[in-house]
Amino acid sequence: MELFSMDLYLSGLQQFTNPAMFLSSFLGVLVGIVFGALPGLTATMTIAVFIPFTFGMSPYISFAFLLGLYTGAVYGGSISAILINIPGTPSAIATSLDGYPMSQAGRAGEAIGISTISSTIGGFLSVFVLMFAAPAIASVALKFSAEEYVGITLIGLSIIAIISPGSTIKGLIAGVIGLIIGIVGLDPITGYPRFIMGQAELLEGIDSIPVMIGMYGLSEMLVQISSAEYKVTVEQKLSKIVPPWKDIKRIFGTVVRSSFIGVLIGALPAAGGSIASLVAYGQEKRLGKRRDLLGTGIIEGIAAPEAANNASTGGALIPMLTLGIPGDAMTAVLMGGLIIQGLRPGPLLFQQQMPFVSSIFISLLLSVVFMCILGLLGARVYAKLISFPKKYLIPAILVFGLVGSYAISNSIFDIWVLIISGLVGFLFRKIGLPIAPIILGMILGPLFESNFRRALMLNEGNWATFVQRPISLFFLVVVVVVLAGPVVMKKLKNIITNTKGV
Amino acid sequence: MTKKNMDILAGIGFFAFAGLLFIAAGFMPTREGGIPALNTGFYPRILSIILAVLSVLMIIEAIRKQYVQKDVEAWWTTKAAFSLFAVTLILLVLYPFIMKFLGFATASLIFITTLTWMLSDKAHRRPLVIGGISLALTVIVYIIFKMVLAIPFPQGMLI
Repeated sequence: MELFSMDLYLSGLQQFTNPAMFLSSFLGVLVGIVFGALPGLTATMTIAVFIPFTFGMSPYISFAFLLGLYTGAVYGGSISAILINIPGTPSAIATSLDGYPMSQAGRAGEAIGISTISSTIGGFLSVFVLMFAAPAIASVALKFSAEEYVGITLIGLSIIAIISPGSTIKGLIAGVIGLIIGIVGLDPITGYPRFIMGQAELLEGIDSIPVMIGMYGLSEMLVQISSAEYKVTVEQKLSKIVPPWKDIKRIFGTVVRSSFIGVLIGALPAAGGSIASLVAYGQEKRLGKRRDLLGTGIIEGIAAPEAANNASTGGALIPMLTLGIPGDAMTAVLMGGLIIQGLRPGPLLFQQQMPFVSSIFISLLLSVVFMCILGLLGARVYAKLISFPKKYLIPAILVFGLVGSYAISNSIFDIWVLIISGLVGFLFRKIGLPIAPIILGMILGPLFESNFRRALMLNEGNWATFVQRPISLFFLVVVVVVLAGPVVMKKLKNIITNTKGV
Repeated sequence: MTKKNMDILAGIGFFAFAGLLFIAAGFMPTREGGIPALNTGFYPRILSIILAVLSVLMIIEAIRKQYVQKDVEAWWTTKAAFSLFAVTLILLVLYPFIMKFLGFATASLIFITTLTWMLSDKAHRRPLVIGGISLALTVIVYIIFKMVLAIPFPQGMLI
């Protein structure tokens, strides 16, 4: 199929004759690492807050920047995990298990070096998997019709509900709330305005970017203010950073294994870096040569989660680009950045915007290169930045959020959307409702609704159409397995242990 | 409040919200006969039913579950944290108004300086340092949004 032509890999190269591409990728990685390394600023929040910076840029330059942010922030989380035992982003949770003990033993520089090398190898591998898997999946997805999209959306929402912290029911409620937010605006079929409360701004629906900045950025800052978390500052000194060759050889097997785990888990709709890194660490504990020493501060314990979480970045882009279903909260926000540029992710993107898709591959590759360089050269600076006082950071991020929300469509209305979303996000965090499903639901909502209703209309209101098409039926079975699976497994385990006891 | 009660309360809240949505969907234009999916209220109504079912499940789960950590953590750790939270909210709400009347750079400067001042320990409030860093941050915001991105901000009295 023509989707596999070399054009897919080369047609974007032309864009890179523009030095701005390199500059924006470089800046993206740099800002990403710094924000990722600052505790409490997650990668998702970083991308959400910086999307307004990309308005007016061409989609090529904008995505070089955003992908740099993405790569940099996922990697940067490891720096604070190693130095102060606080993962900068959720995907670095496993890194602190061995990273912090190493740091306490005075080997912080070495730990950051290992993390950089592992992240780089993981990142490279994920770009290559993305380059070859994405066109293949896109060509299959071209055959999907409305029913299949309904199924895939439901898979995404159920997986994110399952993996979100807290109960699955709360995760599902959050997903439905997201879908409900998506109702606001003109009915896609009849054109009737729904819940617009007399605001012309709402005719096209609630803009997802201020909601994301509010729920991830503003509410996070409000949580930190309300719990007085902003007072923690720590300092650390670093020794040598570039790891010796024998160490790299020692972790090579771990890195390759963990990278594959990362890409695979990242590619599942809605399962991203944090799961990937925990699973990779778990595998190291089962299969690693020095598994008994894990947790005491050995380099394998850093290599496994770091290779996996950066490998998940390319993986997570696969469902986002090919199906329009984000792989995790970060790619959901990235998708928001894509939509703002007037581009709809999905299989058609691969047919109609081949140079853009191609430039995404190359940009991602470039950002991995920059990440490696900036990681090895800049570690000392980031270690200093971690102690940058939060009392300046919180107000600055809030102002970025306020101004950024305004800048989306030059409307003060969006500032109100931001503030309300921030408060709702704060409330939801306090009652233990996860945020990621809301964002996913909100982004997928309009697509889900129009496919759902179109499928019913074309089949004269016959619901059976969702189970009569084999692929759609398969997707619905997956949804049931995902949601019921854990409960059934638990019941089975209980039965087995009970009968053994008899 | 215990976590159990909070979960039950939240469940009731979501159920009530679902009820409101269900009723609101009923007011949307409906054509008699034909395929229900064509009607505007169809999709909101389906979502409201799903949300109602889930919130009932949430309440049941909360009643049956054994909570390890019984009590809800305080929403605001100290009184000072609460007043800071309130100040932040007031500043956020005032921001769009100040932006309209005085301009976005002034609004940003006021916002950053006031909040930094409030977030600083009383013993460590050095006006010159706080003022200087706040001004620098505002200049960065101004350069990025006004000069690089050329966003048309409302014409305030100042900049």
